Amino acid sequence: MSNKNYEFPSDLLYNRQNYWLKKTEGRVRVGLSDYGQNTVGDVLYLELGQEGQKLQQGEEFGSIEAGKWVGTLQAPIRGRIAAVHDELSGKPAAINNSPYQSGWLYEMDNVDESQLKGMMDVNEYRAWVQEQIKLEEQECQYNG
Amino acid sequence: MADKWRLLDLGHLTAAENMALNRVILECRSEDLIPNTMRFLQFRPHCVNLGYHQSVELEVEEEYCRAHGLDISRRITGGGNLYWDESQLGWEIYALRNTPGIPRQLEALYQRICECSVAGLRKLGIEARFRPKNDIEVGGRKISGTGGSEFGNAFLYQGSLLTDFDVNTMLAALKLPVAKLDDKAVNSFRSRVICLKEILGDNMPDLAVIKKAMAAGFEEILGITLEMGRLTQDEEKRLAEVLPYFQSEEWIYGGREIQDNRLRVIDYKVTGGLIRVSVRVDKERELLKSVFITGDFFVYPPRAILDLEAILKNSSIDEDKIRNKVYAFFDENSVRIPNMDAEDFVMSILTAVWEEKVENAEV
Repeated sequence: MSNKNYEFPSDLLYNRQNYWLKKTEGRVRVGLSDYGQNTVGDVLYLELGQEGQKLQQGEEFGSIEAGKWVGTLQAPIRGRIAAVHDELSGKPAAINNSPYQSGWLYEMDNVDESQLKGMMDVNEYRAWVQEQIKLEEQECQYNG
Repeated sequence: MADKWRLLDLGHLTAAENMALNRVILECRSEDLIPNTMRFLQFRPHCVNLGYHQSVELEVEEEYCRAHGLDISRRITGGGNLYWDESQLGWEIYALRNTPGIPRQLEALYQRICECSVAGLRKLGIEARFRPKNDIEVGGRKISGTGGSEFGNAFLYQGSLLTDFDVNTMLAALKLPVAKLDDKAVNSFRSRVICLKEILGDNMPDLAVIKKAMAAGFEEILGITLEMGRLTQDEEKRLAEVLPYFQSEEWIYGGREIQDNRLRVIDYKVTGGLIRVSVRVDKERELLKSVFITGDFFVYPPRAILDLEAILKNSSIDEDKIRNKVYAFFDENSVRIPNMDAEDFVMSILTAVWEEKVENAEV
């Protein structure tokens, strides 16, 4: 894992659940980071929320299945789902192959912008990912 | 001092009760209302059990199930369709993601927990092995499949353990990648799975002994102590509340996309003999849902084909990706087959995929 060169665009914000956020006009687009998609593994199925759904920061909704593991999606900030990326449910591999372009998950509006300040910029996130990779390597050594 | 976990052994329950308990215990663990927990699962009546994202219509022979008293159920964890008869034993653990000794990286987590089951089997005198991504095998033949789910800061990871194997009921109840239900199909499945009864024969112990060994395996690998416990009043109350939902058609049949699920079987002739490939392709998602490889060739090591099938399951149908996976597998495992090479297997698999795609395009 340490040898992999993850791509983290500099114009995005990130959080510890490995979501990226991109502010556009009145909306925030959300996806999984390159490190996040690699951690999840090859995505087989995806259930996104409904347009109009209001979410609190950290609220769990939808599901993502990879390697027989069903995980939940978490809202990185408070807001409303303005658009879901419908094409993904048919082609979830885009999350792995193109996490920042065709693999985006959904867009939010009416967001709590103050919560964006709690996100990491690319340098902070890159440093945090390096820490995670080190911890994972230590766990691997510990576990033999 | 070893961390204390609760052990639950609730005996035989219906499939809906077992599935509802998955949700209840996972939620209670995430709310810190209960300690980390290991639970054994048994089912009565026998049942078919679907992965979270599967659809009944594609995976289950409903008429057969109704006629033979099988429950149809869905679980909150991922993976494929299963048949549980009353003799089967399942195991599962509920823990916080930050539990010491539980890796955070998912593939390492799968391996760690499967090693618990491997250690348990070793106590029964069985040399089992973890097979990526989620299986446990003995001599290359699958004895246990596993899968997981998460909620909040807690996770559930569960596995089956084949004690006995009623292959005929399984093949009749589940829609599996076989062209027709004949002796060949039965033998093909038998060669891919193995059960405790086949390994241990007359020395097959009681289920109580098997449970004890499995629990000891988890204690050894995770460095924990298991203490027999019971459901809390809160868990009982929540179970009563959610059980009707897990029994409902809304849950069992609900909202899953129906995809084409046909089986494509091709015979691919090469200098060294015949390779028969059966594939199920999820064309919309461009995934190889399953692949079975048989033929008139001899392979060394003998387990290689079964391992290759496991690696290709649920992988991309992209030509380069298939080729890379097969070549890497042949290389890493020093696979030897007289007068055949990795490219023959690549081409046989790709031919099956192409035929399936072309026919679909013509429809």
